[in-house]
Amino acid sequence: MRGSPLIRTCVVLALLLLAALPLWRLTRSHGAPVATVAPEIAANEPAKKLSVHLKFVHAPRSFRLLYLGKTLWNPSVNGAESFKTELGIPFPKEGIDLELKAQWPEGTPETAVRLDVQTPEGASLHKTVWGKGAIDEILTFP
Amino acid sequence: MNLARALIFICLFAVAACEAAPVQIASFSTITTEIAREVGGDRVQVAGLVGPGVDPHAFEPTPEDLKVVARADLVLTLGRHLENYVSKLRQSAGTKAVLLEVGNLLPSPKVQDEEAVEGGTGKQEEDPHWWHSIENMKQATRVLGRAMEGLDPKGKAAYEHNADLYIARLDALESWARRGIALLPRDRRKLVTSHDAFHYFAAEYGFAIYPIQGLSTEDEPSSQKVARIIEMIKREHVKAVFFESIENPKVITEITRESGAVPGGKLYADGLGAENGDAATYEGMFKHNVLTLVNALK
Repeated sequence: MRGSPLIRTCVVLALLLLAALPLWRLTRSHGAPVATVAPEIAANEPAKKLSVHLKFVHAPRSFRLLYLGKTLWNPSVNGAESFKTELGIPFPKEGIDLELKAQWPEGTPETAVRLDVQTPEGASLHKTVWGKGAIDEILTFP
Repeated sequence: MNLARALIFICLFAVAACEAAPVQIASFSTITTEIAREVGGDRVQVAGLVGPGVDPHAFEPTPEDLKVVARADLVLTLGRHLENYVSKLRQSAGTKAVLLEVGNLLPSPKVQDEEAVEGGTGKQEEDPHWWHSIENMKQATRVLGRAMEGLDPKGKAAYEHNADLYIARLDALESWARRGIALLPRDRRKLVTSHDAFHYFAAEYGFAIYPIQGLSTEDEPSSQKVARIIEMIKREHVKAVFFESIENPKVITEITRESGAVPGGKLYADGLGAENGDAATYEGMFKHNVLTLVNALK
């Protein structure tokens, strides 16, 4: 027990290094997270999300919902007329502009689509758009 | 017999000459000049008396301009008290010409002047810059079309057709503008500009306006007002401030230096830009303004 101070120091250093290894593994950076939406939007993503419900009178061939020029929602349609999702975008007091692009199969008459939005504060807002063939509309909430 | 033939020939020639005579229009804005030319086509002759780059707030007609007015069938001004020389035009036009103050026939939002905003005794004013609303441009197109029909009933179909084509282009422009401005988050739509000329634009596209001058380019900002704007830019993190095609941007330079915002570029507030430039037409001017705003603020 009364060995050389040099050996004792070496033992202490070795123990510290052993303890440091798992600590480093826990705290090291794992690289940038994979962005599921555009990086600019992801950086501002709020804790509460925006609930969105799209109801088509006639099933579309396809549709996309964009915010700030970036596609946030582009689901496969499969003949459905009603779609729901939640969007991780901010909802400032000045409101937001969503762009809805939709296409209907040939032969579909003039038809309508309603977009219901529930804000993180619980306010229910909606807009209805009419179109034939295809639409590309900016919908402002509130 | 020869005399009778000659008389018939003279009558036919006179009728043909009368039919071919274009409607004479004197226009006191680049905006009304464009609408008149688009709607009137070759049935009208338009004298654009206020050229590109001329400040309509400071413009005064020359005696030569008043001679043109005296010969005109239709005189066009922007209206809403923008031109303070309308009485001179009325005198020169006499009873011959129809004087159309186009903006007076269009809806206009009330603007609270700064004194009112500060809780003082300020009054409400009207923004005369109605053409920054594409909807107003469409209504103005119909108004001018009807005025031309009144002077030249045979041209009704042509005026309607030309107006329809121009309005279709304005519809496309409106759709383009909405998609372009949608790229800018609504909480960044803060327009700090030298001249308070964008209330119609702001109302349609969700901008808050912080003007440095008043509704006229001849208004001068006080040092207190400049200080308040600098404070607001810092508080709201406004990225850019804008100046205009016509006036000296010296105050803007001071504001950008003090606030940290960058000069966002020139906006066309009072009319179209120079011939062959990107703002030489209404569509070009509107696109220039939208692109300048979106690129600087996003």
